[in-house]
Amino acid sequence: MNTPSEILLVEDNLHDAELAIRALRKRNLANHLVHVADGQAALDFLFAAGDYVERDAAVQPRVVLLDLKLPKVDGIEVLRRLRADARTKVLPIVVLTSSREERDVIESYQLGANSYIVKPVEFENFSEAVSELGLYWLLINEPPLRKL
Amino acid sequence: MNALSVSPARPASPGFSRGVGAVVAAVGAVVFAGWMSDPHALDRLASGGETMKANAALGFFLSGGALLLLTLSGAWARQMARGCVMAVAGIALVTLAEYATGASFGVDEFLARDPGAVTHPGRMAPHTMLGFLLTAEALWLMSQAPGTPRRPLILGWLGALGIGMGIFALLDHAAEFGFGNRWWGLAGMAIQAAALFVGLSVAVLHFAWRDAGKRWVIGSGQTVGFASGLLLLVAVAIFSQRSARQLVEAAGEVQRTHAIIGKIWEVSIDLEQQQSGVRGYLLTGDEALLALYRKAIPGAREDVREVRELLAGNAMQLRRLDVVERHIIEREELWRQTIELHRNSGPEATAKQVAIRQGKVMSDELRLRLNEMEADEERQLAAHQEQARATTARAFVLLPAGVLLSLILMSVGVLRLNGEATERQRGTELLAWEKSALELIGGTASLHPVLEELMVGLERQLPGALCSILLLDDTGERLRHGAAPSLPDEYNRLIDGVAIGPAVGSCGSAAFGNRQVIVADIASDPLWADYRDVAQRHGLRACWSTPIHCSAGKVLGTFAIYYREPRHPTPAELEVIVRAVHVARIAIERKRAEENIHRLTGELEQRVAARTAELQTANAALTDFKAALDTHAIVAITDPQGKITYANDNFCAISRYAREELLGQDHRILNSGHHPQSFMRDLWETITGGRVWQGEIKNRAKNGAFYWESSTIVPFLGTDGKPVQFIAIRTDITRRKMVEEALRDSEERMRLAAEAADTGVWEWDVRTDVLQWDERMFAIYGLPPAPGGRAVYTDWRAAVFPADLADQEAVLQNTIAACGRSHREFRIVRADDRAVRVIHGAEMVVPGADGKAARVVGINLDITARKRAEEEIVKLNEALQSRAVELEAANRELEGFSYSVSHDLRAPLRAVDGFSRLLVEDCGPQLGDEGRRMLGVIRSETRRMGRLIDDLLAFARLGRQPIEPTPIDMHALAREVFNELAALEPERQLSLDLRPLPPACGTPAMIRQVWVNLIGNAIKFTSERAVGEIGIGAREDEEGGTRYYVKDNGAGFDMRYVGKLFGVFQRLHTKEEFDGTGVGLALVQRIVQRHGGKVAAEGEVDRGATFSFTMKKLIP
Repeated sequence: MNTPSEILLVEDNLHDAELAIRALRKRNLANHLVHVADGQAALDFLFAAGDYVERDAAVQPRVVLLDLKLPKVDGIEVLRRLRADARTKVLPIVVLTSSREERDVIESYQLGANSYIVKPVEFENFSEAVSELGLYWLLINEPPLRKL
Repeated sequence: MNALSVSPARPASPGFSRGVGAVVAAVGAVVFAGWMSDPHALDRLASGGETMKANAALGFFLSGGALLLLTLSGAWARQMARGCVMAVAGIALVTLAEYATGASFGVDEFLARDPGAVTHPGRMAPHTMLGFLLTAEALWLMSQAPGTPRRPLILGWLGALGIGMGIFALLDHAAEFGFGNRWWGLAGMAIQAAALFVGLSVAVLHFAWRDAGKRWVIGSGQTVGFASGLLLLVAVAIFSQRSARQLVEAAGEVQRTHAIIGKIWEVSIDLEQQQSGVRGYLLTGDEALLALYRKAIPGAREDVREVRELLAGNAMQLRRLDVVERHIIEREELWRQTIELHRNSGPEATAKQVAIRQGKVMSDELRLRLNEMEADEERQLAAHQEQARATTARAFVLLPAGVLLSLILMSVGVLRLNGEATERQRGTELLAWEKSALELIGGTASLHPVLEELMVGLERQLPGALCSILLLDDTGERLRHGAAPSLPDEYNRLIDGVAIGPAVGSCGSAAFGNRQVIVADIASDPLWADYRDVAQRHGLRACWSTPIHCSAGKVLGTFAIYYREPRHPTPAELEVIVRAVHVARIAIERKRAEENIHRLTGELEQRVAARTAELQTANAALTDFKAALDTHAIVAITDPQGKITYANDNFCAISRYAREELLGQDHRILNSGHHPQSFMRDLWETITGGRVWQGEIKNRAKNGAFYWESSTIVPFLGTDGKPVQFIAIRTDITRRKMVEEALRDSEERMRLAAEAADTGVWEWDVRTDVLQWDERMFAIYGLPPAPGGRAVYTDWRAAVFPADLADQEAVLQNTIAACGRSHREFRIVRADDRAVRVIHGAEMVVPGADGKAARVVGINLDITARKRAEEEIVKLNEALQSRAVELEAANRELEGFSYSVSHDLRAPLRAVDGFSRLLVEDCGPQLGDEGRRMLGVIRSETRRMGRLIDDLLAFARLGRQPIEPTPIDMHALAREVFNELAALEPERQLSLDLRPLPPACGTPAMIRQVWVNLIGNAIKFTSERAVGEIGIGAREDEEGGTRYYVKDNGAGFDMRYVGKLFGVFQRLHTKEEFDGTGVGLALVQRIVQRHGGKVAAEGEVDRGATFSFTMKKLIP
């Protein structure tokens, strides 16, 4: 894991993950993408724990694409923990979920999500949304953390 | 005899009748005298055969006398005339009877013997008799009073008939027609009689003409002309037939005469042959000659016989023929003797015989006779030829003349009849004009248009005429334009306002002189001197003007007819003028009267209005005063009997009665029963005595409430000093009185209250230890009521539940000790049915003067039912709470469900869609078109599924979302939603008819969703229309809310399926027709229902649909 990863995709649905990665790849944005399939793995990755204990926690991705419905630790909980930790307090987190539930939306924002995207069912829309997302967060947005 | 017949009927000009009567009577007298003296002289006088009989002469004498007498005044003359007439009629009728029956009544030769008559000596001819009948009828009519209905007409026809008969007879005599006069061989009418009848008839006609006001009475002379022409033609026809027959007869006679002459010749020749034969034999003795003679004998006899046949009827010639025949026979005898002598005695004897020449004499004689006969026949021939010639000549003259005359008469008749028809036609048109004119006048049009219309109508009847009416102005000095539809406007302008005068054209002169002015030629008439140029400039050449009078004779104006050529009016036109003037008069008078009435009505209305205004002012002042009074006080007015005739609003309000309920009633309706009768009697006596009454009265309102009034009743007295009405002015003092009453009656009221509340009341006198229960107390405890309400404390103790008793008594003791109050609840066992009841007790201690308890007053209330209800409520509450918990759980479950749906159902869809897409991208070429199409189907269905899930989730979410009522500007919201949705479909032609929408109260996001769905639907379902017409509006709902609606002209729906519209996933169209998930309307219904409203839909296939929902009104 020498190359710093720029996108952390937290997505339990492998098909969705594949579609997202494919969309990003099309824009050449998936080169430094890490995909984890559950909340615990995401936390481990970001906090360099568990499987990712060897990772340098000081190096954080430019954006975390976070699904809400996740095995083990769900997205909301992940968000809460990330925002509770000083290292990830300002980490750009985009909630990328199927849920339109107002409750989820509000809670996500209240917990400090930077953005809330509902995954479109249509592939084109989905793929466009994801790639725009990647484009925005990787190229346009100025990250709060110092780049390495 | 009525008044009319007092003056005897007399022709206006009796001279003519008198002359005719005298002549007729004279001739009759002369002839009659002739009969009396020498009938034969008369016979000679009238050589033609017809003589006037004695009876006829008498008839003429009497008729002429009657006519003469009728010209004289005096009743005697008329009576005598009637006597004469009856005598004439009598003679004629007897004669008629004789002719009819064939019998003779002896009147024919009663006066004189008739020597020359043919069939009935002395009897007058049948047509003479007829003539007398007609004459008698006519004279009888003439003796009647004038004005007898149809007399002129009947007289006219009688006269015409008489003249016809007379002329016919005269013609017959004059022209020797030989027809019509002698009927069936009877006597003909004498020529004198015919002349006398003509004279009499002319007199009759003259009388009729005068009688009818100098008018032709039998329609017209033209009819008579035509009829007589026809009659003449018939006569000519008969005459020509006669002439032809005469000619044929004459020709026959000539032929017969020729035949006779021929035969006579043959006879002569026969005789000569006989003579020659005989002579020859006697001289020569040759027998052959004798045979010749013998042979000639039968021929001669035969010829003589033929001559006799031909001469049949000619007596003279026959006599001659007889002589000839005798001579022939004698000669034959002589010759027979001579021949015999010759044979017997020889020629010498014969010679002797010859010598005496007896035979020759006989032959000469014979020859002479024959010659005579021949000469006679020759004469007759000449006579017949002459007759034929004369007949021919007469026919030659008379036929053409007769035909010509009759043709002329008939033509004149026909022409005049034609003229009459035209006249009649014109008369009919004129009548029609008059009728329509009168209708017009009866109508609402004003004078000038009516006159214009009349003139136009008149001009239609008078071709070429220009009709005008000028109206005399109020000063009576100037003529103003009335109506002249065809005269040139410039001319009308010039004439308008012209001053009337003695020589001011036709109209000015006519109006001035009040007379008809006929100017046949304007160019030459001096009346037109000043206006000639004007008239000629406009081509006007004739002007006949007639003044129009009003009923009183005053000139109203003039009616004029102009022509563009000089001409005089015909009688018919004069008639038209008379009628036109009449109609114009009616029009002018009628219309002026109408205008007058109109003006008067207007003035009257003005005066009424002015008077009304005054009254209104006065009324307003009174009204103000009354309003002030009404505002302050209760006012009632009654009639002397006390019946309410007026009640103001305050009265109605306080009495709770409607005004109509009060009116007509008296104040007993309000009687509270509070006041004794004497009080009311005093009141009544005071006011009926004419005095003012003041006092306080307690009344009862309709709803039973009592109220007090401070009342002043003022009687108003009539001239007789008796009250005519009472006015009561009152003030509501109920409140004050209530306080007073409340204080006074508090105990009573409490008792009533206790009673009303089913509350038992008890009172215990602490000092006397007397316990008093009211009836309710006994009832509560199931005990029989004790007399005087005396209760026993132990009864109460026995009833109370033992477990509760100690507590209860303790509370009571404490209360008494503290002189306070207490509330308790305890159970008892009711004495009668042993039922356990829960009692609420409350008591209050009334302290005595010493400050210690004197009395205890308490109540008991059976609250068992209430208790049970309370327990029930508690139970229900508990159930409800557990239900709420269940619901909560279910809700949570549902939430979890939808949450998982939103996540879990969506993800596979995305995968299906995404990988389908990837498949196309990566393996597109291998898939082929069909494969790609099928993948397309998969993807579109996936997307649809996604939308379904979204909608379903939204729908489910709705149930959980709380309603937060907020005022919503529906108008702005609907417009905004429409604009947004319309912007999504820029290619669509959409028209919005947005009516003002009242604001509503609801959760804005939800209501917005309603609009989105309804307007979205409207846009969607009008997609097949060229222009999608969408109407949005609102109206008052029946239930007091507002009904908002969205209307479109789209595909609509079948009302049979209206129930399905609002169900979830219920769709009436396939998704190919119109895209959709079937959730939209369900969502709308859910939202609206959650806001307490209702949804509705109506539509028709292909006629559009209207969806509406109700919302409660926004209450600011």
